[in-house]
Amino acid sequence: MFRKILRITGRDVRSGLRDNIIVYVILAPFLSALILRGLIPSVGANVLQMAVDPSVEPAVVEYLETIGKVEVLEADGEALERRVRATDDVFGLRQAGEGGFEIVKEGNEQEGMDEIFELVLDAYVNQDLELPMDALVSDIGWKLPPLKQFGASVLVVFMSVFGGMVILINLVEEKQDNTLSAMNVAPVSRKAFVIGKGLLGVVIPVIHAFGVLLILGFEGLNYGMVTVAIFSIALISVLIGFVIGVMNDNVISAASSMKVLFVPILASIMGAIFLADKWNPLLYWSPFYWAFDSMNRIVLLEATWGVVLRNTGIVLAITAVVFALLSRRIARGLN
Amino acid sequence: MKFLTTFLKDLKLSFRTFYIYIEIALAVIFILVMLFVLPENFTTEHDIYTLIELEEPAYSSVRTLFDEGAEADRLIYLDSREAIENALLEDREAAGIHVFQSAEGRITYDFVLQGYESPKLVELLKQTFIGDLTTYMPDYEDQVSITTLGGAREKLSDRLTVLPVFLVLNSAFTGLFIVAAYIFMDKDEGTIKALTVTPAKISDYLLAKLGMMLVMGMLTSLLVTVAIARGSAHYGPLMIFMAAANLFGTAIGLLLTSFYDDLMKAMSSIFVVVFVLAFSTISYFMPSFSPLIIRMIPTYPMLVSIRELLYQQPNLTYVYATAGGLLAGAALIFMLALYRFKKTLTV
Amino acid sequence: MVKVEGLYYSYTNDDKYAVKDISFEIAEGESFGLLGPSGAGKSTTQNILTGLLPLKTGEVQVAGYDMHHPKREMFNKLGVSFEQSNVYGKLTALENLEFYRKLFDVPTLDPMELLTLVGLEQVASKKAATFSKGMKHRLTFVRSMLNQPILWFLDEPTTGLDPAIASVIKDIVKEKKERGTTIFLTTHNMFLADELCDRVGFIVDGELRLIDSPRNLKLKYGEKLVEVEYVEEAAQGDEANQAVAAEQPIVSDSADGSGTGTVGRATIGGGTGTGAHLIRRHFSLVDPVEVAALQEVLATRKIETMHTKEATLEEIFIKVTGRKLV
Repeated sequence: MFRKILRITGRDVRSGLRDNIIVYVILAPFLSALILRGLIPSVGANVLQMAVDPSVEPAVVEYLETIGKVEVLEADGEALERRVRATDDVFGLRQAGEGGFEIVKEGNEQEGMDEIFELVLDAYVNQDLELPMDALVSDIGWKLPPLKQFGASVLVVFMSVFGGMVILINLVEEKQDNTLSAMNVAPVSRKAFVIGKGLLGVVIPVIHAFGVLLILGFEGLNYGMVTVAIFSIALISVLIGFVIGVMNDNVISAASSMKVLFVPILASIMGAIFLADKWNPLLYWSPFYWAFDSMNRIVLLEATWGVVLRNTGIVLAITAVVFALLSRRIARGLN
Repeated sequence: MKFLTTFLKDLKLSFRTFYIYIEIALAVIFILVMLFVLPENFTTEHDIYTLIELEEPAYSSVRTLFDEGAEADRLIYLDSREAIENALLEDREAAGIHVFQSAEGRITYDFVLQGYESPKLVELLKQTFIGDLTTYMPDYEDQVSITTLGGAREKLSDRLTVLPVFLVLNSAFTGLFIVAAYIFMDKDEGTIKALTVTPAKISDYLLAKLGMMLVMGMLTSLLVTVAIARGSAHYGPLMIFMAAANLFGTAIGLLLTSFYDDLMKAMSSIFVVVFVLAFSTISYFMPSFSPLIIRMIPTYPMLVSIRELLYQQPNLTYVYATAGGLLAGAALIFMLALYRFKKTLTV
Repeated sequence: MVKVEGLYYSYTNDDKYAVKDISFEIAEGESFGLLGPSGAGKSTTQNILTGLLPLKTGEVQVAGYDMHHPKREMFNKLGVSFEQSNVYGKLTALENLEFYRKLFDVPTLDPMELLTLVGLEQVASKKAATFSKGMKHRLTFVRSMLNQPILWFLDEPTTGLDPAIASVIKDIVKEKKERGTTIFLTTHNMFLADELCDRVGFIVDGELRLIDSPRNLKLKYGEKLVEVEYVEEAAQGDEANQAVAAEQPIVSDSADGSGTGTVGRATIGGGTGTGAHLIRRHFSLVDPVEVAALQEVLATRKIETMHTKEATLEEIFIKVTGRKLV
């Protein structure tokens, strides 16, 4: 039994490597992690972006550079207006009268940013005023930016889709080549076949997750918890691959199932990130939500074994229910 | 004429495969969730944990200042510095304010942050506070004026802000996502060969696919916009823009398809392309992060244009310029796809 | 109508040619059959002639058009029936024909009449996906007649069809041929080629070995044969058979083309060893050795059946090319 399982898995790996697609699918999360790693430092670095007219004094520019990104224009006059009208969120600034400033905005900038810019200039203009209060900034030493935190969790959960895709591609391919029928008359038990196929769907997300977390440079993670959480994600992945691959024998329906699949995944993740807490119960049905919740707590270093195991249990339960509901359909599809 | 015949046949076929119903169902689900499951504004402003450690009367005056401020409803009052720090541990996106009397007896505002904030953001926060403070001083000079170039922009609800993302990634890219599947289905059935031995041209065949995807995309975009934006969208320009965006998407789909001899390979490259195109949504939601490289992704001007058309006074010049660019791009990419398909479609 | 000169084609763009140095001509109104086993290059040749594959090396003219620069309008004159049926499964039989009909710029035949011609009128409004293989094939076949082609490409038009339908299709082709349609037939069915073609070309390994009319080929390569079935008692049978086998090899699988005799045997009465065998053998009436053998059989065995037989195109093909038509 075990040797047969390995042989089925090995065949999938071999035929996969022959197609670049599987190589893409395997590399995609690592590439995404690298891109993310490159982006993290610049996101949020410059909340305020300004383009300044040449009339503005260098001292002002120097001051503004401490609070945001400054672009000093070479031409004066209309150039400032043109720059402000471009598609990004850039405020214009020019000298107005003796020691005064004119802020030029397009009107569609992020709300409230114009007031902030104005206050920052007020502070500069009136810097000689004696203030009755002091301001200081402190922090509690948490260096993990939200983009890195969410990015890692999103990547890890999305990998389950990639793992599932590998299974899906293999199944639809076997259907097209009619090798599935050949497998059915070979002395391989249904169970060995299912496990053989599913193994890839478990192994790939695990490799992906560890790789992504390492590339993003997380430290002090509990990798035991990571493994358990990924195991639950991998299960979803296998379910996806089997259900879609088995139920579809034509390419249009397989492709459309993939598209439909993105709805619950995106909804669960976006919901978990952006929804106010009181709306979260709307997502409790989704295994992706629970998987994301586990990963998110793990990278925040606030996961406990109790929570991770509870979430994994919920994922397993939902997966089991879906499999049970669809088991007859899957069995029929394998014939 | 032959294009029309092929197009009508493709349309008939698409209504007989269930894919178009999936598109419509997705649109309906989106509408239902947006209208009935979520409130109009569903994102949340993060909490600010606050502690004022001052004697009277300073306490009351600071408290009054806070209660009258714009962030009043985000403030949560705690009774110790430790409580603020613990609250920040719980909510990694929250911040805190600690007001106390310093050793020199001066009132001091301590902004308690997480630690991942950039140095410039920290400085911005500090200077904003100081600037705010100066406006209360008797010798304050107001020397800063604001000029607005375009029409003033009202704030869109979360619901309307999300709409362009759905319109771009789903309706405009209907064809990008699925046209490969339709072409490979024709290849598998062998019907492309049958077409090739009639006087119909390959361009007729590809244009018909473009047309079919256009109908699907326009159908879902109209459905969703009417349900969610109702009267606040500018429908004329919006439909023109969506048509251009849809043609652009399908043309990319055709070009990608022309490089592969089986669907799964084509789909995987399409996934990669969609993934890259979707990156611009980051800058769309986070305007302060919009590096040139992201603004160069075609989806960025697409999202911005559609959002323009939801404002009361849209910048139509920008919208039409973008639409024109998309159409030109679509034509160019289509010609490339046609050139490639002439060599590969029947082999 | 068709003129091919020095045609080469390689799918891999190197010197592994699928067809090599093929030249032939087809006159207007002629029916020409390209015969050969699977993979010999029949379909490649036809695909180049119909523009499905680009012409790379050689000169090809089809219906007056240079295939180096094929024009879409040429397809108004051409009809192509594919070996593998290719119809829109989601469209009905009638919708399929109505759709293709509109793609032509010339007068077309009435789809319903065409469906009636091949017995599909009852299912005209059923989706083609529900059709059996044979029904789809008939639909593909009549689709190629829509524009009343003057040059008609038929790729294995009767393969896999039941004999009654195959005969209907043959009759339709014959009728079109009589009305002056030029026909280009590719098949590995020699009986069909024999029946339909004025001339045939034998293609093997991408090379055209020979072109002639079936009649000439039979006169040139064919031999008169007699097929005899006779009973052989067990003991004597083995001896006699060995004798026969010794002087004349069993050639049913032979590719050397040296003989026409074939021997088949079946046990009568189901017994093993002791039972009588039924032997079927072909004797050439031209070869003196075989004539003598025939005489001996006639004199000493119990004859069950005896027929004279003409050599088939298939037998000639084997003789000329040394290949079977599989």
